[in-house]
Amino acid sequence: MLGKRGLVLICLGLVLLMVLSLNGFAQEKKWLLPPEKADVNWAAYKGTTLTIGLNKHPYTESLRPLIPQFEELTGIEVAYVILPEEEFFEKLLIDLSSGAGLFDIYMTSPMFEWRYQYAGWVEDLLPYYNNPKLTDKEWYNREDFFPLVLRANEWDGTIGGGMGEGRWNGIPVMVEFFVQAYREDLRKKWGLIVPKDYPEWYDVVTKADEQGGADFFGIVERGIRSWSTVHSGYYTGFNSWGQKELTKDLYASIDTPKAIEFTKIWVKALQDAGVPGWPTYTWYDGMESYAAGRIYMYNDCDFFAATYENPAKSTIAGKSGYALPPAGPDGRIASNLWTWALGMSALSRHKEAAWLFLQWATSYHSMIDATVKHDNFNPTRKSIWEHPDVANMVKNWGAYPGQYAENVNLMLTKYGDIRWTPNPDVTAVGDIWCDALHEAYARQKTVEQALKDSTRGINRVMRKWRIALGIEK
Amino acid sequence: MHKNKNNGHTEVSIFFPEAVAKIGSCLVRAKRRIVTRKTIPYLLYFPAFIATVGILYPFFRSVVLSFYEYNPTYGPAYFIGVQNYIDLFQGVTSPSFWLSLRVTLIYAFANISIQLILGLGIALLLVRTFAGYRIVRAVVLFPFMIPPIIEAMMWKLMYEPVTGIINYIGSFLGMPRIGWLGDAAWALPSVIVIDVHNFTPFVAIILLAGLQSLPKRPFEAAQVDGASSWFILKNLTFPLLKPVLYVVLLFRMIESLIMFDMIYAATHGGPANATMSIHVNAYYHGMRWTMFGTSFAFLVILWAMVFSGSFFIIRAWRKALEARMV
Repeated sequence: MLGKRGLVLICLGLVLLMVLSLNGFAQEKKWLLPPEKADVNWAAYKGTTLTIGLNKHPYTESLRPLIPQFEELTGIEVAYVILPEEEFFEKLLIDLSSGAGLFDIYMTSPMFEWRYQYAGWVEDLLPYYNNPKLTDKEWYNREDFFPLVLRANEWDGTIGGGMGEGRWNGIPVMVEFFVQAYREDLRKKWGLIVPKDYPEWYDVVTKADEQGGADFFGIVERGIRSWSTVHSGYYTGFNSWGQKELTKDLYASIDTPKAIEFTKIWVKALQDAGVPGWPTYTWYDGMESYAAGRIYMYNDCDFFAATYENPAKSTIAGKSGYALPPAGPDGRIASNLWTWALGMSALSRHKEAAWLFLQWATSYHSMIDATVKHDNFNPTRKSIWEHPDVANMVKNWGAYPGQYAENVNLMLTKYGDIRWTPNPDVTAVGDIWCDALHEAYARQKTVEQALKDSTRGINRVMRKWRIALGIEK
Repeated sequence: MHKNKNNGHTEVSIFFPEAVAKIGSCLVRAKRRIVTRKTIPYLLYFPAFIATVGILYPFFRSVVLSFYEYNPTYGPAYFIGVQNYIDLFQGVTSPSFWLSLRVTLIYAFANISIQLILGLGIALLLVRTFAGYRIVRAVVLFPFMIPPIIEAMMWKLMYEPVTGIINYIGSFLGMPRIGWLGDAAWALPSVIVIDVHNFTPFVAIILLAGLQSLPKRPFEAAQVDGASSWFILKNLTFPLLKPVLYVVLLFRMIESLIMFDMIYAATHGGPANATMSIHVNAYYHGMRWTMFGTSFAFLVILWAMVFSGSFFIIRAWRKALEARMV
């Protein structure tokens, strides 16, 4: 039997246990606390002015309303320049290549970071992250980022590999994968299937095109003369067929028999079921056309669902389904990945202050607001993607409850990745490759000939890297 | 120095009669030394000299860099002689130089000829006075007031294959649905139409001014002699208007050869490189791929084309002017 003393001891023990566990909980969840609770001297660079280069993008719209919070927290003034994508990259290139250093921070992405890293235009963020005077690691909780997306912004400079190692060039703020967005209402009405491979995909979009009448089209895809036309749905299919654009020796390999076979299906679908004037379509045009109810399927960014499902922006809200991209001949599904990130200019004169901004903007505290209050999709932090409010926002997107989230989860864990071969000239490779798709689409050349001609152009661009690596003399 | 207390703020005003007088006399002496009869011409030319250096320095720098492998992504610039030009002439750039040259020349030739014919026609119509002719003259000028990039965006909407007004009107005439800017066969003519719409008013207004400045007597004499309209146009209007035509030709040739914003906004140089002019190609190499050496080589050739074209047109203009004086 326990005496009085025993009971008291047990009670004291329980109280102690509770206090300890509460303390442990608080420590474990420090990253949930507001920035004021972080062990960072936010006021250290009071009076500094930072300039940020931003692309006109939903993420930018989610960041802007939050910036006054940062200014109040730190006393740092933030000026920003927002430009449409093409102009943004042009202005950024001028700023970086001229050494002007207007931007302290800019929006970037792995494919651009590869060029900027070689040119010495992007700052490695690891020294700032590892500096205890500037960073509260426990509060920042870097491990909360999806490893796949974090890895995409790290590169050791090895041409043809080295991703996920070496420098940390940018902090991911949103991620997108390339899926099949299709009209579930019409699929049921017309008795169509959700295609599992590319021959099926061709059949479905051509049937939808026939069923839809004169002003309705089976598919829309990006088409402007740009690497981005190759990057999205096309590269996803290309890689699902087990193809890469460069060999290990950095020669173009876009004209292999399998690459030709896949490209024939892709181009034929565009010719037979695509919108007329496909080569003028940007991603935005494609999204608008689909949201206007004129298209059966759009093989592009999954996060466009936020627009499709918003009745204020779309005539087809609640009518779409979202599926993984079709598989290659051996069942492989390999979506390409795009992530917008925030990077620091190597030319910045306020690097420590810039790091404070990056730390604040990509913390849990800021990013949960960006997603829940301002629709920034898809979030790059696991805790935000799994947050009940976020899960609630996306639960009804798709043909059945949870379809959208299911796809994103599969992409994050299994099917999505950066599929390009890391190299500083990747955008030039993509631009030249796009010519082949245009020429084949216009029936100026056969698919074989068009791809062979672009192969020559890509080989010329990559020649300097082959020479630098001693592959070619 | 006097300090004035005013509304609690301290205003510091400078008032030194002696110092001002000294500075003034110094300035007067300096002015006398610097501004002399000999130096006045040089001083007057000085701003123009600064402006010229400001223009020529970047130009010569571009020419020099066209002989370099200059790609900041790859490393520091190094001299490679005429290799960039050899690459261009061998057609190994992608898209090739020869394709871009063909596009540029077709674009320039089509624009100049269509705009001159239409512009002259409009000018001949507007030179007469009729009810409301002042309003019509102002309205004709409207398209020229639209910046080329806005013009391109406006036409892009009209050319849109499904929702655009051009295919909509065409459907009533039994026309098939055309992709216009997205169709490799139609893209270049479609961009030319945009340019014609934008710049024909400029041609028309300059030619109208030229027509209005022609001497009236020869025309009155020809009418008294019973000359036909065609005879007057061919043997009087044309020869007398030639100097003005050359001026318009010069402006339009330069603008058409170097046109960038309209083409890029409409098609990005596509589809299938159908509108890949030299300038757009140079943009891809420089501003997208950081191959600045190659890009400068493209632009130096473009400059040489513009310069040689201008040289011949100016020579012809001088001859026409002399002939008119005689």
